[in-house]
Amino acid sequence: MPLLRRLIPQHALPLLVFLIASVWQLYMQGPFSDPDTGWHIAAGEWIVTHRALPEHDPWSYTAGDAPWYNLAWAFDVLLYALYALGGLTLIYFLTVFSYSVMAMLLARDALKRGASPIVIIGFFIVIAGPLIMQSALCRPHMVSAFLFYASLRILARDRDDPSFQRMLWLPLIMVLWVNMHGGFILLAVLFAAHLTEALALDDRARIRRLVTIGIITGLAILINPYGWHIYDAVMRTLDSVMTPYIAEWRGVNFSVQWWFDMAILACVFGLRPTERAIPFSEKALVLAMLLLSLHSARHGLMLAIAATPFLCMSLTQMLYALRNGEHHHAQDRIFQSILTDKRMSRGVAAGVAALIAVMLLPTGREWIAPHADELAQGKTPVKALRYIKDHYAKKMHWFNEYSLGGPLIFYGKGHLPVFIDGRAGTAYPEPVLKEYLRVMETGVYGTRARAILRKHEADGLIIPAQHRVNVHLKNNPLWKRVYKDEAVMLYVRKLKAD
Amino acid sequence: MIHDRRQPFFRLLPTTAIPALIFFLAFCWQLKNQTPLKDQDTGWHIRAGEWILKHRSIPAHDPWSHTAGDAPWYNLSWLFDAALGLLHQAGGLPLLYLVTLIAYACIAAILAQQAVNRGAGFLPIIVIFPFCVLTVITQVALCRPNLISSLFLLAFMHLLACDRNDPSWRRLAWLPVMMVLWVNMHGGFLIVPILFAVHLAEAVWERDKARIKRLFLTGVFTALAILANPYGYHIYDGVMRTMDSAITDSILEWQPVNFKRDVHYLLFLLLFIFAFRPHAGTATLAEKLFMLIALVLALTSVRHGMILVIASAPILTANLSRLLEETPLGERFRAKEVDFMQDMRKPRARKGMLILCIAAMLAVITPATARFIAPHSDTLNLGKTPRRAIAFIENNYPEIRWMNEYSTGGLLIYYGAPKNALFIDGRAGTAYAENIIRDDLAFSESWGYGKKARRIIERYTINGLIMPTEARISRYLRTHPTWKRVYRDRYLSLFIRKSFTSEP
Repeated sequence: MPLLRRLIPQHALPLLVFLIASVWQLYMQGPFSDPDTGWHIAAGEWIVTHRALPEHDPWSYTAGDAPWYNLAWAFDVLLYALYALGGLTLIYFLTVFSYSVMAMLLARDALKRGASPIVIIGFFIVIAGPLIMQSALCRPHMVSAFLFYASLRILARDRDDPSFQRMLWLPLIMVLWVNMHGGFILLAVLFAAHLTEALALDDRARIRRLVTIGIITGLAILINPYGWHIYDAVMRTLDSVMTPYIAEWRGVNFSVQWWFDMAILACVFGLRPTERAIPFSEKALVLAMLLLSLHSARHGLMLAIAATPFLCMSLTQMLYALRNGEHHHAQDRIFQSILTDKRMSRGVAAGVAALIAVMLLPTGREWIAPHADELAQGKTPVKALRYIKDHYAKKMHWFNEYSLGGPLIFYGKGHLPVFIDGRAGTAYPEPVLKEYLRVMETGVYGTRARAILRKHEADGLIIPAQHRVNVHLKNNPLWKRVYKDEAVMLYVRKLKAD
Repeated sequence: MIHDRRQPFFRLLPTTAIPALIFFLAFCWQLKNQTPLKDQDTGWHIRAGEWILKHRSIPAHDPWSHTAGDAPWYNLSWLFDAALGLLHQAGGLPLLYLVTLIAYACIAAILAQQAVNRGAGFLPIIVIFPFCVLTVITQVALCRPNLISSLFLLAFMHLLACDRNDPSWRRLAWLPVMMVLWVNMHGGFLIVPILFAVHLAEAVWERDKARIKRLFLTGVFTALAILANPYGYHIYDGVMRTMDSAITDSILEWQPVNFKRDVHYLLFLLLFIFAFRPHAGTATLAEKLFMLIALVLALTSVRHGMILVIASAPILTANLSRLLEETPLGERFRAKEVDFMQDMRKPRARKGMLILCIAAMLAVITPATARFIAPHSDTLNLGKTPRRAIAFIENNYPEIRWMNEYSTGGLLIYYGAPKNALFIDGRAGTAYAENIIRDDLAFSESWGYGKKARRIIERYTINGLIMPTEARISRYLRTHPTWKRVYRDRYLSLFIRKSFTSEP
């Protein structure tokens, strides 16, 4: 019992945030919404089976000899190991818990910095929660989030309590990071912010530490299968012709993603750029992450990590400085006492335990997360793949829509070569990506689209059931729909169908 | 205040050359971007004004299209259109071009003057205005009724701010009067309740009972003034038809800010974050609240960028000046600032800037120079007009019904397209029934393919299509089994149904 008691935190808030974040994710069924999860698991399996990294793509008929820069190979291996251990279900729940743990850590940090629980709860509901949940997918940026958090903490602690030994964790983190996700370049932003601060304060010892560790960390980047060519791979992701078409790389849509409006307002109030008492590095990082996430919504998670503890603290100070600040302070104290009450902590812990118990039971799992054992929220191409296997030659080439690539690789076990998938520029040459875009933009109409499909000998099309291009294909004289289910539609050339 | 009493002319000038300098910069910036007549809707606004002047009444239904039929036309900008029609009759498009340039440049100059009045230094103004303020203004600087809304917003904000420090019933009485004008010129009058609300919130916060009473009563009168329009309280139906139409999501100006595309908004946002200063006493509570609301509005829809600029540019610039003064270099910086500001107040500087502004305006009026610096000041849509396409229709297919792409409607109206050639235009929900808008969207989205597109064509007995040559749909129609391209210029392509027999 004493051990159990120790596991229950004295303050119920972080655990409450964990519980709410878990329920939220389970309700949204987010983890497998990302089509790339499929190829990540398949890549892990390939690496484990062959005990080597594939130099070229093994699943498509278009990539040819183009190098495949798998920036997430270590993550893929880990993912496959988990898959081998507990199938998709285990991965699903681990993903849910990872993001909930992240939310919990941020709430705890905010609390430690003196933020009011009311402000923290409000901040999570309106800003941090949606920012985290929009990115809560089973993909390597999940690891990036934790490594970013760890680096942020180490560098921040070094400011107040210098320790060379602690800083040595950064190169180690980098070795992990660079083999798990391209997000490792964010560490350069962290170093830059802290170095600028140290330079402004003329803190020579810190400058020396940061430069030395920065150089070692920079060298640690080279410990990856691609050496310095890793930057080519990152650039292939950032600067591909596909990038503008991928939703996560697009700028924020303020009509839909209203939480970014709120994040901006929170920065307007809480950033306090001229306040000297607040470390420059923190403000610079929040601002940098805000700009990055406005530029591309995928960085929203990093914004949540960099901004939550700091802005919660800053907004609390602002609230207390108001005319009736004393009143707010008194209310906070009452709320604090409720949250630190033992019964409350035990109650929330019991809630978490109950949630985990429900997940462990198959019937409970079926009820709480019906798609925990399927990719694409259950809309998988499994039946379509069976249809293809039963009706068409194995050698036949199919042109697939981009988002179907990952599930086709995963469920097709490599037997059905794909035209394209979510690896985009890291595995496919730029001309293939351009050809894909050309075919899709024209709605598979016109001489150019025809020529491209002829060139690749693609005699079939695999299109998501809800895709707009189906409207055009329905009336296309060259293609005939041969199969339809809730996930995909299959088309073949009319001549072939006959 | 430096006034030369011997020259009354100088009394008309601002006390510093800064507003004139900003006016000049804004004027030239717009000239470079040739914005004023870029908007296709300017075309129907002019023709609507001329219709009103000619018939001395407001049209109850659309007179130009073959689809609108008896649907009511809520012309929310009838008074603006009439003014535009008058100006057009007086000096044609070049006059409209010049007046628009001057109007937006004046707004920029007024904002600069407000920044100076709030204590902004020369350097922040000269940095902030060109890179943040003018870029946003230039983006929306089109000859359309929003221009009037911007001017009214400036006036309302000024009067309400004056009332805080120097209460006057007489001054506030201008608000209902202005509202009568505004409500007949543009749907943007809806911003007024927000403006009143923030001032009322401030008055309540400060427990200023007299002000609460003044604002409340003026608010009631201003709200009643909204009814002084041809549509009565149905004006709200007109506004809702604009904001809640199926086409709204497809119109660029109604879309949210995209920081990848609108980089200048990013600069403005940074300025906002740095210089908002929630605790500083440089702006009143009402001003701060309105700035925040304007920021959210502008993020949600690009067309509200002007509201953001008007609400925040002077305050942010002044705040930035103070921030710079607080830096370690502040003292030295301040000394330079004082020198610059003194220079700007010298009569020679003011006279010089004024001459420069007049010269720029003269250059736009003079035909020879206008052709050189503003080649499109006498055409709508940067010279891409449907004139020849209309002539082709009148000569070859005068009887058949056409379906045109949404954005081409305003120009077709302006250049006198026959009634059977117009399916829809920028008036959208205010003149057309929602099913017509949906059909137009569905046809464009399907690129003319499919059963739905066929049904739409049958429903309206459409035998011809008018599409912008550069639009994607034109590319697909070229290989379409039902349509045949019969005409093409650099702006429009015309397609005729293949089954239609009376080909030229």
